[in-house]
Amino acid sequence: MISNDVEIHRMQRAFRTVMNAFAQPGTIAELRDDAVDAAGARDPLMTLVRLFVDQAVTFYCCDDALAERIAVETKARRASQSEALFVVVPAAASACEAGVGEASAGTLVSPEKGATVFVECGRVSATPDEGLAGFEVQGPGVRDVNRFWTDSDEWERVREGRCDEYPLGIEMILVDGEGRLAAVPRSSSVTRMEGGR
Amino acid sequence: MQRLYNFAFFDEASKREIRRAIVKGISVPGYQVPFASREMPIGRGWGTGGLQVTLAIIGADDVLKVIDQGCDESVNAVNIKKLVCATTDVETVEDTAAATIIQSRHRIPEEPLRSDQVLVLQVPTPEPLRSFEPSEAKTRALHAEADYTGAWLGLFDRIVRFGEGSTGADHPCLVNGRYVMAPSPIPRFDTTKLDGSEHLTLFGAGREKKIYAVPPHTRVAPLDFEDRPFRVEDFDGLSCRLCGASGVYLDEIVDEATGETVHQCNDTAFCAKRRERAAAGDETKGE
Amino acid sequence: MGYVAVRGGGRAIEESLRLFELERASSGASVALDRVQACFPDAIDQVMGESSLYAPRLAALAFKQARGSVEEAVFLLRAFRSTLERTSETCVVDMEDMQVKRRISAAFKDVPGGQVLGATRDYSHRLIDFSLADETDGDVRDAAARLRKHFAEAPDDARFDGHLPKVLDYLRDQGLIPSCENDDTPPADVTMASLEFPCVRSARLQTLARGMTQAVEAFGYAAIRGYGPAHPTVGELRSGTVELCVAADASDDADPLDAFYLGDMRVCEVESVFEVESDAADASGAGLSFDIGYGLVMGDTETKAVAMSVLDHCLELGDPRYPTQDEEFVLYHVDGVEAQGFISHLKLPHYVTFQSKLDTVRTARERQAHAASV
Repeated sequence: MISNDVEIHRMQRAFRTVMNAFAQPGTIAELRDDAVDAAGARDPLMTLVRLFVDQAVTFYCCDDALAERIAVETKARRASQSEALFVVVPAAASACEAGVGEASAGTLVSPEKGATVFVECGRVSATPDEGLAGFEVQGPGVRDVNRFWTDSDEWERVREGRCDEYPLGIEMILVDGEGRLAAVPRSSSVTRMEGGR
Repeated sequence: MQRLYNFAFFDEASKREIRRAIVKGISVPGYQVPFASREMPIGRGWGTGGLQVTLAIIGADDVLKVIDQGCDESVNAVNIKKLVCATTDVETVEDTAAATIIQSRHRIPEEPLRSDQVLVLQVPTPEPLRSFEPSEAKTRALHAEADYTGAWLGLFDRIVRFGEGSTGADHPCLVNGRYVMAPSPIPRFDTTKLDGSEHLTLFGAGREKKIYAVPPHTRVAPLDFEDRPFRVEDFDGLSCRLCGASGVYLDEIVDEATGETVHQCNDTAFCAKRRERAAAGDETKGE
Repeated sequence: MGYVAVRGGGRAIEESLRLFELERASSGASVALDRVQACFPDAIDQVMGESSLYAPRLAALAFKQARGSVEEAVFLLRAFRSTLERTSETCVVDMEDMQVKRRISAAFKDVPGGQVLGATRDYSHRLIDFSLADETDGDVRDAAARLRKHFAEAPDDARFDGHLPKVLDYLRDQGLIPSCENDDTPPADVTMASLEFPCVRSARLQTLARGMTQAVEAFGYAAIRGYGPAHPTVGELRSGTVELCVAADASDDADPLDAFYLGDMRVCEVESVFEVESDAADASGAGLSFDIGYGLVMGDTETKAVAMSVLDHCLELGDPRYPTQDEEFVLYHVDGVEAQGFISHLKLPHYVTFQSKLDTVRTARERQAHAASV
């Protein structure tokens, strides 16, 4: 009596990965079998889009070609950076120019209207490495402190610069081309580690 | 008119909507995220909120346990399990430790849950402020302002009138220092298990169309007064007549033969596991 | 008294379902879906309307499975609806384009286009028709032939093409109803996002339209009886079919002529007129004008449509003295599936919560007994 579709199971696995990432902010999870683009390359950013974005929501993406692709594929409506429920930041764009600073923080009556931001990174890592910036995460979901590293610290500077007052704020998912991701909900406090480690 | 149902019943758009609410719920612990709440093949108020959450997160590799009032074999638990199985074919268990998703009504299992397990609680009345403010628009405003005077006054009123600040089940808690939350009608005995837990707890209220969450390692403090501290149900000096366990939530029953009041574990799977272990231990000794 | 969970639930349920099925099967009779659809169109309309799903055959199946319980059939159909993906939205329907089968106005005797009584049981005597007891399919066919012949012989001037102007346009032309701009905001969909208060009007109308028929009627009745505004006048009730189309492409500037025709749907629309105090700044200077309450329901459930128009107006007024003007009170409680579910959940075991209450009551009593003895 069940119709089994490969895509349904793929999306379910991706969701659990993301859900666990949000339940344990600052830990690294991995999208194992994410989407592939037209050329057959892996496209974890697009997996996140497909997981959450559809005709019932709005999104903003500073890259016009990608925005067009998302609109066609998901039937979601494009909205301004300050109104969109989802903000998609491709690796080529900087978080500043991609509208993360202006993204909606929700309202006190409806904090859930704060945006969810997908940031594509060059690399997201559970261990320190040359050229990576390190972050310490504390808050709900974290026992003591969780640490992770990304190739750029721009997302954190933009997040910090927003000065959101909890429970207002944005959710961020940082994802790299290999499908490694870390979630940073608004309830997390993030500090940059000195010297990257 | 033959027709196949989707894996996990819903169409994908319905799942996306529930998943979006779950993410926001985890990100703002204790805050009730409104969601559309699809109609389910079981009645509103019979666990449709928990069921929607379970169906939105469950995958083919999951192992499901469903309990109602502490019991895997209770009619409603069986009914919900049947529906999830019919649309997913997942494996079901009674052993808490073997489950990856545990959907429950009114209990948290005795066996501590791990970080790789998700607890889904069914919620009939998600609004802890509803008893003194019937209007949803007004309670939302109270949460927005973190104005919980009413909740405190309610407890105070109970103390003045009954000398007892504790409510029955569903004792309101302050989550992550910000939102007052209804933990669902779990006994006060279970409320403390939500504080700084290892596992994620998701709350689904189908009829009232709300989803909320308590992530692991999150402060969940029952509302109380210093001179009338929060008190869990008292089973002092009592133990299970079947497995001998004490320090667990006990059902009070009457032995029909003797007319005496006796007690046994409310968590039937926990009790059965203890008895099996004891029996196995006896056998080993005998050999 | 024992408070312990009932074990063996799985077998109990199986046996209970068998017993239930035996009750159904014991009748020794089955009814074909065609017959359900043919003989109980009003029930099918009500089921589809409350389910927010236009699917006559599925509604007939649900009605059959539910053994004729409308409440249960709605439950079945609503649950099925949760499995369907929304692929597209229909174009806006202009009710003036309705193929009218019946149109009446309680406000004007001579409305433009005239009163069209159409088929109604309004003026029938509710006497049980004992001749139906032994009616055969042949009798039904004969009756149909006889009546068709009768109407074929009707004089030409008694026929009309089904298109009628809207009654309220007449009042608008006279300036008695304030004219307003079209509001082209995309409507809310309460099945896709939960209600938010205060509600937008589209969410309110949708909730009422899919509300439990008898609940909408009961609240509407309460409103006109005294727990609401004054007595309304049905400006127009029109019942008939409307065409539903889907735009060829989703862009705003798509040519409506390119839309795909999906089919016809039977609907009933009511516009009720209420006398209200208007702003003194009104051009006419008069202190009174008219307001409109709107009702639109699937099928031919006329009483519900009228009651809906009353409640729409009530909720527009929002006077907190009247429960029928309290959005949360009305909109949260007209839903049949929610009411049925939550009331019947009281039959579920509540052993754990009751044990917890026992503990609280005992402790409180002990404390009081202790206090009294000191």
